[in-house]
Amino acid sequence: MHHFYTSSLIIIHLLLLLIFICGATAFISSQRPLIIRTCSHHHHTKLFMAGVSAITNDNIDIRILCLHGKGGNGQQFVNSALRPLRALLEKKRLMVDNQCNDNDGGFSFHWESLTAPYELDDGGGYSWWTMPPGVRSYNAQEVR
Amino acid sequence: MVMDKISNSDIVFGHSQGAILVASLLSIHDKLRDVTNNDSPIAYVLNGVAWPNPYRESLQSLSEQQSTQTNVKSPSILFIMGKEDNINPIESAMQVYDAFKDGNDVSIVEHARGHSVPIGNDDDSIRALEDISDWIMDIAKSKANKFES
Repeated sequence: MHHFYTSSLIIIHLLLLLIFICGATAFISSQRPLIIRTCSHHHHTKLFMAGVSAITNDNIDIRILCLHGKGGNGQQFVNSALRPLRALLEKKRLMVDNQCNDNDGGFSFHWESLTAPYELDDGGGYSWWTMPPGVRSYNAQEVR
Repeated sequence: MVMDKISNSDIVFGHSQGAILVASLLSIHDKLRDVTNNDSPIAYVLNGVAWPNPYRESLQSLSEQQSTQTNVKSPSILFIMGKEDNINPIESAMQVYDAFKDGNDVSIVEHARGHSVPIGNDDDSIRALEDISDWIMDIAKSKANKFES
């Protein structure tokens, strides 16, 4: 009799626990989905419980426009002259990204270039303006 | 087209003639000197710049213009200068720096080499590259944090 009573109590408690779990699950799933915070390379998300909106951020683009010097072209400038700087920036960016600080936004560098409009006579690339021979920017009276 | 591209950028990096072009455009276009206007870059990097003489009047009047402007937030400007630059000597770059220094967040990274963007091929160049990249990272973080908040 005693064993029957104890077993019944255990079963009732288990049933109550099961009902509670089912109820809690139903309540939570009726709210916005839980989003687990990740520190992935591509995005940061924040964990909020039911009743508060979840926020997902993609990396913010930092757009860098590169304007080359006389000779050469935009693509060459970005791919060659700026390569060491770009590599160092990417290394630093990844270090910041891996720290996954809630207060810091994630970002990515996006490099763009333009090529100047005037082709040089010697075929050595392009320039942004033309000047008479011997004239330099610092002594020119006008640009063409 | 150049102005359109500039307007859609966060940072403009000009080298030599490209830097002179940027300095000239900055001196004549008010909107490029006000980052509260969302159509303008927040920062400029000028490597191996020289004094753009055709724009001397607008450059020379910058200091006076900026002292009278209110509710304007100026962009950050980084000058990269090589002590051995014999294409656009450092003295010419300093003239441009002097035109912008009042009312702007202006910095200089000086290095021992010449006209090119530092590539990290000796200790001084590595140091310069670190300084330049740290400056750009600060700009990037400030934009990213602004979006986060």
